[in-house]
Amino acid sequence: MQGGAGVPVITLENIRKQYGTFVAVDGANLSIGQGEFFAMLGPSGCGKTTTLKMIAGFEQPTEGRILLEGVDVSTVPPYKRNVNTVFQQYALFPHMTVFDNVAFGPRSKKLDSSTIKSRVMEMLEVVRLADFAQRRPAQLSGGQQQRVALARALVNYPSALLLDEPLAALDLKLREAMQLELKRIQREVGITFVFVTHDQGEALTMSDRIAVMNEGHIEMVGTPEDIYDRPSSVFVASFIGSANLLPGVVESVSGSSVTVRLSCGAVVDSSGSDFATGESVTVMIRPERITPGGEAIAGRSISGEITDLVFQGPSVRLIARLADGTEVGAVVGSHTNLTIPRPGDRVTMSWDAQGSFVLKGHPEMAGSTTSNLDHVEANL
Amino acid sequence: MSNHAQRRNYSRREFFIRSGLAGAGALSLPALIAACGGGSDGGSGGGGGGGGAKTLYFENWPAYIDGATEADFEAATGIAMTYKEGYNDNNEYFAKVQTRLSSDKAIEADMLAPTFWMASRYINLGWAQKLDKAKIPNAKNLRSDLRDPGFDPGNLYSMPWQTGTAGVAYNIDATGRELTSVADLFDPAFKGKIGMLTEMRDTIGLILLSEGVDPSSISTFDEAAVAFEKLEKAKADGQIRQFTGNDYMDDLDTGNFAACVAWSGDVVQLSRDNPSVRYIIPEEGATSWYDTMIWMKGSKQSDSVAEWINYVYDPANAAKIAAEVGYISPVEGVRDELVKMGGDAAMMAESTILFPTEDEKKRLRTFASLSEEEEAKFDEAFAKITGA
Amino acid sequence: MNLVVDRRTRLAKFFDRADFVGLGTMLLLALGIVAVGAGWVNGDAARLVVIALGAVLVGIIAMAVMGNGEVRRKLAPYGLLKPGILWLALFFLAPVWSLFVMSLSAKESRFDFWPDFSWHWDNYRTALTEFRPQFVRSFSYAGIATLLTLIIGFPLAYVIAFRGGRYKTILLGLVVVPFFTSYLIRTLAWQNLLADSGPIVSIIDDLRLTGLFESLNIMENGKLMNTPAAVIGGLTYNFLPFMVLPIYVSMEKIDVRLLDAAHDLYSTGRRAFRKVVLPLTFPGIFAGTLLTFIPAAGDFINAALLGSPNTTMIGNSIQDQFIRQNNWPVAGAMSLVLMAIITVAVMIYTKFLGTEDLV
Repeated sequence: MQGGAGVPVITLENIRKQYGTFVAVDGANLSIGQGEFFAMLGPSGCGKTTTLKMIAGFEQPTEGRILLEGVDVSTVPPYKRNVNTVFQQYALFPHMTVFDNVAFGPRSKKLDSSTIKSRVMEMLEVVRLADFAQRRPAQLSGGQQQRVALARALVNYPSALLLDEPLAALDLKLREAMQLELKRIQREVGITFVFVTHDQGEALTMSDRIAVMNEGHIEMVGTPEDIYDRPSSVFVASFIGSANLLPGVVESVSGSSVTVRLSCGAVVDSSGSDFATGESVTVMIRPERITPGGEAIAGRSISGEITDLVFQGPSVRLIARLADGTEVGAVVGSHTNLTIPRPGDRVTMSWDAQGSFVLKGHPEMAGSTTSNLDHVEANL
Repeated sequence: MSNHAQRRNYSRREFFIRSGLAGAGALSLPALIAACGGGSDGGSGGGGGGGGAKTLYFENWPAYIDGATEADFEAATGIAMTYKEGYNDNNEYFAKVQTRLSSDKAIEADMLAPTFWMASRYINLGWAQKLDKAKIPNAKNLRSDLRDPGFDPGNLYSMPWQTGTAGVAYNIDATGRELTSVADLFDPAFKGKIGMLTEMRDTIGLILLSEGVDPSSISTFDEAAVAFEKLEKAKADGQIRQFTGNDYMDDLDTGNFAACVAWSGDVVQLSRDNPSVRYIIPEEGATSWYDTMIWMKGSKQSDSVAEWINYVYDPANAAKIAAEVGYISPVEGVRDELVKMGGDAAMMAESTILFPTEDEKKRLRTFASLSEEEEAKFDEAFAKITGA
Repeated sequence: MNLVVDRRTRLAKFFDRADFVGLGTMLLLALGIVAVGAGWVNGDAARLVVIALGAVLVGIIAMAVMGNGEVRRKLAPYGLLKPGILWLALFFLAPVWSLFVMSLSAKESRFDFWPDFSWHWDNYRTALTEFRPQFVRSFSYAGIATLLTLIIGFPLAYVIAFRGGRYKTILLGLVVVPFFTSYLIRTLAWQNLLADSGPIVSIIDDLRLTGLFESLNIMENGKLMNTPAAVIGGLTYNFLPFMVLPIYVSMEKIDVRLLDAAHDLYSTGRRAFRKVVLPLTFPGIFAGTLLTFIPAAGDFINAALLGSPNTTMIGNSIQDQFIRQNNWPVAGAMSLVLMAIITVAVMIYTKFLGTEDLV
């Protein structure tokens, strides 16, 4: 998907943004290719929106350079940058019709009116709002407003479209529908989309690549699969999806295999290199990788007591307490052939060969090793 | 500055705008007033009758009396007196009381102090009552020149309260020279710096004098038309800065007005603080006027009114009032009393503004009384010029 | 059993008409108040009408109290409307009606207080011919003053709304605080400021700008006081907050992201202002101009205190006719003409700058 051959659409070089003594973005480097659907993901306050604003031109970087299609635009005002933004609450002009909203950009560029008319109507067709051209934004639903905002930005054929939490204002059902709609539109117009979100599910669903940000730093850039299966840090692992993060110490390293003694006492094998014996590490196991109640597999199982069982429709979530008191979550299909253990049962939990992943450092959240977005948010 | 601002409160005729504001209340519907007021016939004097306690309600111009007289009168006679300074403007007050008086209802006040021509109107309309002259022995002290006015022969209905002249006042800092005549008011050098009074008889009277017409002997509008034309032209030319009520004092004091038509007593007070302000009886002559006490229709306080008039016509009492207000007392013998009082009062006895010289007196004229029809023409023409 | 049902339906039928009863009593009360207020009935008859209205009011309240929920539900809207309608009847309809009657009346003699209604249209002729200069002056002064308040007030509101930051409240306070003083006192203060020996004239003299100001017709003969400029200046000053506040409110409501959006869509600051800020501020400008122009056109304080005989406005003339000349019929005609002109002007203005489509 990356437009590796050509010049990247957007390049950030050592971008730093400081407000007084507060550093919002620190040393960000990024390169976004032609036609990519790129997400910037992170908890609120991580600097993702600031980064987006710098790309749009509403903020100027304190240090570093921003290149648009290879040209330095660090100090170019927004109205001279060929990027457009879909704002969080859409920021549609309330005193204008849908048509006039969409025509605003082309009119600023002083295109002739017949061109404007055909381009606007064409774009309204793309977002399926041609029949609403003469309505006012206040007469539209949230999803329709969202699409107007998209059309208003896309009608200018920008080098890149920047979306700031574009779906945050919609309810769940609509949000899911809009995710697909956004993908469809992006495919149709072929423009680079850069969108900011704090919703990891959204990011995983829609993006070609994701940059995970935390406290002003870019923690990791990668495809959704990379980020989910091979996170670069404990933060990324905990922020994306659910993960059991079990602290431990490296016992031995051989080739691409690491043996870790977990704090619950179990010794597990995992893949990974670049570790030293005695190093503190975290073993990440995704809940859906765990099979509870089977036979123990050497180096790929732990045991504990089931404390809770949550029916989630298609799946069942089990919580087990290990010997050292840490909790581990497992997810199994609710119609599996396995016998689902009951609370109080002692079970062995095992996983397949690629089911675990070793990360440097200990999980920073003491007391809980099962993490997901809610926990991260609550702790920030 | 603060001194002058304060003085505004001490002048006889509050400026019109304030009453104008109060007047905004008068825009309410007359019918409703009438419908609601129906129950309370009789006013304040009502119920007093012959047998009740004696009271007296006197509505006078602002700052037109000394501080002691009211209490002294009450002590001397046992009459409970209400003295109010609600009389701001002849026409306005007339408009205010007209509703009730024309419907044969009493107003609150037993006694008013309208200017002579307005007193004449009240008497002609039958809205004033005959005074009980038998109970006013001091009426003999009335200055001979004020006796038997045309509208009230024998002073059966009215007795003057204070008298004064309307002449030319000027601020020598602004004029740069002494003024001597009414014609000076039309000197182009003072363009936009001349004040005229909204009191038609004083302004028109002076202009008539300057045109050689005696305002005391005219009877038709045509005879006075020349003055209106002259005034109209001066206004159109921008010679006249403003038509004012008593608020001319500030303008004169600060020099906004280089010169204006002014009332004698005001200038007496003002020139004490600002020696640049001077007052003359112009060589062409000046108008003399007086405010006069009348007993209003519907009031039952005949005795109180008589006793009050008798009291203030005692030269000793009259002198106290004169010493304070700076106008010319209508009571014979006041000058001697002022001399007896000594100090400032004695100095006032020497003032030619209070006591014009014989030569000046010859130049004073009182505006003729006009028929209702003619007066209407005068008022209308004057209103048109003052621009309101 | 049958009987009970019958009675119930009859009762129900009566209460079904509760809304008619509510509407009827409301109109009756309004009519009665206008009748008494405008003087259609007088004396004892008026007192009787008032008593009857009181009885009707007590009756309708009793009906509401004794009736069931349905009745109360039907009466409620009229009950809620009643205070407003009655207030309007008493303080708008009745006065305007009596003003109208007065404006078509004539006095038999000069001191006859009760002019007789006689379709005396001549009063309107007088109002429109003799006082034409005052009407023209009033509307031109009010128009200029409105324009000036807009020119001064708009940037002021803009700065406070968009650049005020944490000083917003203080700045807004500074606009309003002078107006805690009475209108009259403020205007009197201008007398001192504009006086020939006052600070403003001295500064102009020192800067040798008198000639320039005179050529611009701002000063006359070396004076500022008692000139048209002083009157217009006074109006501008006195009505400034009525312009600033509505504009500020409409600007305050503008989402700053709309400006970002405009910039993002290739608009320069100027275009963003013209296409986004300005149209969204129109409701404020509309309200502000009306709040300024209407009272300014009828104002008399500024002309009386700061003007000259050549700057009198229609308000001064009406005041004079009412209060000093005692000519209520002509004054009434003038007032109604003023009302009519303002109404028509506002209607035309609304037509051109209608705000109903603006959010």
